[in-house]
Amino acid sequence: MGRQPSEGGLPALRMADDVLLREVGGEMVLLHLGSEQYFGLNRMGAEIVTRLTERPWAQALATLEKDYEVDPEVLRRDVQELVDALTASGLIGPFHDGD
Amino acid sequence: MSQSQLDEHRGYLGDARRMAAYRAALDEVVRPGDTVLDLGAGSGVLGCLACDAGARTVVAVDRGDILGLARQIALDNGYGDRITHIQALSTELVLDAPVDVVVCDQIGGLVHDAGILACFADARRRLLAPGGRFVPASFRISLVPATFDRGREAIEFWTSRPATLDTGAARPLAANTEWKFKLGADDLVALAPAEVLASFDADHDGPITGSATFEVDHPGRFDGCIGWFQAQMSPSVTLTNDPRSPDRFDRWCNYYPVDDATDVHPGDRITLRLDIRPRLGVVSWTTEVSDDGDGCPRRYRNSTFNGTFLTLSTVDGLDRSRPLARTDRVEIVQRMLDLIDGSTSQTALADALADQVGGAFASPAHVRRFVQQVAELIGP
Repeated sequence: MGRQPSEGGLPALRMADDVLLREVGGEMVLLHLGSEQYFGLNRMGAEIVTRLTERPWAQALATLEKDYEVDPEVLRRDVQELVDALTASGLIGPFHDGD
Repeated sequence: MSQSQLDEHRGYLGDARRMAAYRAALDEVVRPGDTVLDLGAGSGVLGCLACDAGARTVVAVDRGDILGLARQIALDNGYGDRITHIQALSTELVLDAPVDVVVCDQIGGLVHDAGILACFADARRRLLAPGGRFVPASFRISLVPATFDRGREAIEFWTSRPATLDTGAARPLAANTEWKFKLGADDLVALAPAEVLASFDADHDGPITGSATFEVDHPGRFDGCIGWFQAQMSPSVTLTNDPRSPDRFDRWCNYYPVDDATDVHPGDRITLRLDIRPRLGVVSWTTEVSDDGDGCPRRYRNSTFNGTFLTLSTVDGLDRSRPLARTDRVEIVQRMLDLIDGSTSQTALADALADQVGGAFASPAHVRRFVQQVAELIGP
């Protein structure tokens, strides 16, 4: 199981300091200045990242589950997979809970 | 040639300080018998100065048709037997032997913005002899926080409802643009002493980053930071576009705005972090304004990454991890490549391609343009 923040009132994710991001037509472009690489997220990926950077983990998952009527286990697995990929690419900064 | 090209090169040649600096630097650096490479040669004048300085041969390289003018100017001034002109990108240039000196004036307003760093880094790897020299040799960049009316107006224009239209969508693009303005000392009000943010060699191949905290000593409206460079042309020759310097040459400075103008007072601090990625062509700057009291600092994060109008198709091109789709366009390119047999002209290729896939193009002219674009890509 990859990283997850502890429950709390703060957003689950924070983009790394050297990441720039743009929303384009519902999708998301991220530029990692450190590696000078661009990354793209499709609409669903962009939506997941947006909610995780605005809400705590459990809340973000709950709203996604409700809005997209998706199986909670499938959702949790897919979201974790995305978070792990973002972490591996250095796109996510330290969690607010002091990790 | 166009008027803008002629005016551009007239500007270079007519700038006495620029010409004097390059002449003095080449006189100091070029040794009798040296081979000199003039990158982005333009009208070829720097190569002529290198000959005056004692170069045995000069290779003048430019990708543009202006090289024809450079060739004629060299002939008319008696350098025709010493200067070889090659129309090419410098990064595609192959030489029989390494050169002793490389000279270039693609410095822009803050060094990274006209290509000299990539050209010199490539030249160091492939074209320059061990112990070879660059002109200019190194740079340092300085910035100052300022009240800058023209810069502020360039952003606020977009919310002024020109022609009674709401053009506010352009304002964030404007605030995330690296602006270029020609400035004199009276064009800006410095709010603090300038600081050097970075120093680097002319063949620096990587990001340019730096930060500085400015102590405000002058009350006023903070519009953003103005930046310029000082080039160490040779051991004893410098060249600068510092707007405050009476010895500055005729080159623009760069302006990095903050989203909203903010009033500052003596004792306030402005912290600027600048991150330049020459390979990406992206410049990012973070500005924090804090005052003497307990108020929260005002933070602004700007980047030219946010100053472009992206579309989904542009985005697809940026993400190198995305698989390339095998689209109809790929099939058309493949068909064109299959038609190339070493004896068929572009015109005949376009006709043959139109017979096969003409329906995919708006008109025969579009087919011809497509064939020309692919031909330019693959080279002669």
